[in-house]
Amino acid sequence: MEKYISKLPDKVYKHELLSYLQEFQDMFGYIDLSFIEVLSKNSGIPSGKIFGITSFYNQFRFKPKGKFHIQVCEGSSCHVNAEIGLIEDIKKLIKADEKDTSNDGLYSLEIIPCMGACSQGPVISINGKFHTKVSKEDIKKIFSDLNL
Amino acid sequence: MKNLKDKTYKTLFIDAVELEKAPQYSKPVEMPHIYVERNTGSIVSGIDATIQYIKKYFDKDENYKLIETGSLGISSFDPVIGIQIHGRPLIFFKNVTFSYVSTILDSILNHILPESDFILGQISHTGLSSWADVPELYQLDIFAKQNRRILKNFGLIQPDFIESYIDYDGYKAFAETITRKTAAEVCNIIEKSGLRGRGGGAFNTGKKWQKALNTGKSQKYFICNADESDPGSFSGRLLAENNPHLVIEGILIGAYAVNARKAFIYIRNTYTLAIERLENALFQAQKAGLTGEDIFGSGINIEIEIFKGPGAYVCGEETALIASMEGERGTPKPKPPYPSEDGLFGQPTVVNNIETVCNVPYILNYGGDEFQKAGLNNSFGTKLFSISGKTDITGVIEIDLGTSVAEIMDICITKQRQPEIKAVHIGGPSGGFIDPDKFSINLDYETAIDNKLGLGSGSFLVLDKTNCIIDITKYFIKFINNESCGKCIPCREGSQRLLEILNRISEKPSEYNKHESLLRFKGVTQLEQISSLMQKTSLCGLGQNAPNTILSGLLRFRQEYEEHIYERQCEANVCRNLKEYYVVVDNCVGCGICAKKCPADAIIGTEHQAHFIIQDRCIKCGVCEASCKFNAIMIK
Repeated sequence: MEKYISKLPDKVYKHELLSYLQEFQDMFGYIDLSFIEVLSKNSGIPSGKIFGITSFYNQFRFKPKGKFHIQVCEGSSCHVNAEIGLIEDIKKLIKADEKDTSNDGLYSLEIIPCMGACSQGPVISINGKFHTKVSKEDIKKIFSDLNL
Repeated sequence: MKNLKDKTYKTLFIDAVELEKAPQYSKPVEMPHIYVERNTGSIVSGIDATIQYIKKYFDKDENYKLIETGSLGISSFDPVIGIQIHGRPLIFFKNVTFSYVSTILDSILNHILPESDFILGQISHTGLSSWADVPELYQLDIFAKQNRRILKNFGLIQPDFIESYIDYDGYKAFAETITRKTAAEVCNIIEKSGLRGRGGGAFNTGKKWQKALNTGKSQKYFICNADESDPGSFSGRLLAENNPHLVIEGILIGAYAVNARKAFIYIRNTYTLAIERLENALFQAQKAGLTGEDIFGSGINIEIEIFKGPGAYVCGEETALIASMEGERGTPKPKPPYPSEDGLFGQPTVVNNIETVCNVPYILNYGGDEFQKAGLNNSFGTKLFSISGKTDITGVIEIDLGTSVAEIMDICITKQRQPEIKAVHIGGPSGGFIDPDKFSINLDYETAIDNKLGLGSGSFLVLDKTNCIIDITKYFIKFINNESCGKCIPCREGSQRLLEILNRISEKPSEYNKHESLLRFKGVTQLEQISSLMQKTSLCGLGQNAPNTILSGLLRFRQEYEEHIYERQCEANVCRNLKEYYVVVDNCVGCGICAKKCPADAIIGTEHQAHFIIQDRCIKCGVCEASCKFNAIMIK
C-alpha cells in the first residue's frame, strides 16, 4: 500500500480524485484514511473535503472487506419476491451492517440496487458466487456451508 | 470528403476488420455452431457452467464453434443457447443449466429434437430445412408483440466483435453521416424526428444538440449517461453489455452533431461486464478508424472515454453527473445555465441517456418519418421497459411509446394470472402506481404526466395480492431518502419525514396513548402536504418526482392506507409489525388447538395450562385468533 501511495504524482487534479480513489479501492478493497491525507497533500484540497466527497458515493468503503464479501441485491424485483425480513436476517447472521465488516473480520456486507438478474431474485453473491431465489432457510444453509 | 455513393460503406473498414470471420445464422454451416448468450443475468443463472459443460462435451473434438453473443433481452429464459448444425437453421433453447447440456447436444447433433420444455424457437432461412413443429423465434408472442428497433438482432450480435456488429449494418449510419452530412443537418434530422430524452426528462434531443452546436465555444463535450441506478431498471445495462458498438455509434453521431471532440460514457462502476465490453469495443473501434484522429479522412477527431461512476442515484441528473466528473460531490445545480451552454469544466456539454443515444443510428438509417410511425401524441419512437416482479416473463421489452399497460401485461403475463394482479408500479423511484381500472391508459409522456406518473427509465414492476402498497412505497421512499444528496432541504428533510410517517403507519403504536394514535391518523394529511411541498420546491428531478409514488398510492389505493391506519390491518400480511397477538392467561384453558394450527410453530405450552406466543416467530397470520374458542387470544 505504501508503495502505491508513494507512486502517486506530486500534483493531483480535482477531476482525477475519484479515479485515484477507485483505483485504490480496486487494489486494496477499501479506502484507507492515510490515502486521503496523501491525496489532500498532493491536490491542495482539505482532507475533510475529500473525505466528504468519498463518503458521498456508495462505492467507497472505509473498512477492509471480510473474508467473505457478501453482496445482496435490493432491487425492486428482489424486494417483492423476497421473504419479509430477509436482509435483516442476513445482517443478524453476519453481525455486520451495510458497507460494514463484522468484528471478527469474516464477513462484509454490500447492498446493491440491482444485480441485473431480476428473474432470479432474490439474489445474493458471496465472494462472486451467486445464489439465486434464496429463502430464509437457504440463507442459513448457505452460511453454515461456508468454509470458515 | 470521400464519396461513398459508388461503394458500400463496409469497404471503409476493409483494412481494419475481417468481415468474413463473423458467423451468420443465415448461411449454412459445416460444423456445429453453438451460440451462448453471456450477460450478467445469464451469468447469475449459470451460463458459465453451461459453457464449461459444452466444452467438456466436445472434449478434444475441435469440430465445433462456440460463439459468445449478447442477450435476447428476456432474462427469465436464461441461460439461453442457440445451436446451428449442418443444413439446419439456428434453433434456440431456454433455461439450459449445465445438467441439461449433454441431453440437448446428444439429440440435436443427431438431428433429433430434445424435450419441448427447452425449445424456444428457430430462425428459419431459405436453403435451410427447418425443424418440424418448432415455432419461429420472432413469431413467438413475446417477440412478435414488441417493436424491436434498438433490440434488433440482440442475441445474435457478438458484443466482443466489431465484425459481428458491422455485419448487421452497424456503423452504417455513422459512416454516412460523417462523410455526407453536416453537423447542423444531423441536428435537424434528429429534431424533426421528435426523439425525446429517454432518461425521464423527455426533452427534445435535437433541440438540445442544436443549442450546444450554436454556442460559439470550440471545446465541447458529449456525455452518454449510462449510470442507470434505479432499482428495477436494467435496460441500460442490457444495451451496454450486449451491443456496446451500438452505444458507441450513437455517441459518435451525437458528438459529431454537436461538434464535440471528446465524449464520455458515464457508467456505473458495478457494471463490470458492461465496462469490460465497452472498453473492448472502444479499442476495436479505434483500430477500425472509427474514433481518434481524422475519422475516414473527414478531418474530424472524436475521442471516447469511459468514466466509472462511483455510485449515486442523483448522478442521473445531468448537472450532478457533471459535478461528479469534475471530482465534486454529485449534487445538482440550479438550471439555467443549462449544461448545453455551461457544462463540464465550464464548456458546453450535451448529456444524453444511453437509450436516447441508441435511438440515433436508427433515425439516421431509416429517417425521421419511419421513426415517427411508432408512438402516440408527441411521444415518438419506441421505449424499453424493464419488466419485473410477479410476472411470467422478466426482461427488457421494446414497444411503441403509447402502448397501453394492458398490452404490456399481455406480453409478460398469461391471461389466467392477470386477475391476480393488484397494481403495476411504473418508472421506479420517480414513478407511481397504476390500479387495474387504469390499465387502459397509454404509456406516452403526456398521458403519463396527466395520470401523475413518470415513465422514468422504464421500469415496470408488477405486484400481486401478496405485495403491500405501503411496503412498496416505503421501499422507494427509503431508497430516495438514502440517495438524496442532501443539498436542498425539501428533499433531504421531506424524504426523511415521509419515511417516518410511513414507518409509523405500518407499525403498531409504540405507546398506547392518545397522542400516538392522533399522529397515526394525521399521517395521511401530512403525507399529502409534504409531498406537494417537495414537488414544488425541490431543486432537481429526484426530489420533485419522489412523492409520485405516495400521491399515486393515495389516489388509487387510499383504502389500503386507511386499513393500515384505522384497522391496523395489512391485507397482504407484509406489514407484520402492525399487530401483536398475545394470550390472555385467564381465558386460556390449554386445549392446544392454536399451537397445532400455528403455521410458524410460534405457540408453545403444556396441556391444560396457559399457552404462550413467541413474538419473534409469529407471522401475524391470525389463525390462532380464529381457531380459539375461548377468546383467549387478543391483539395488542
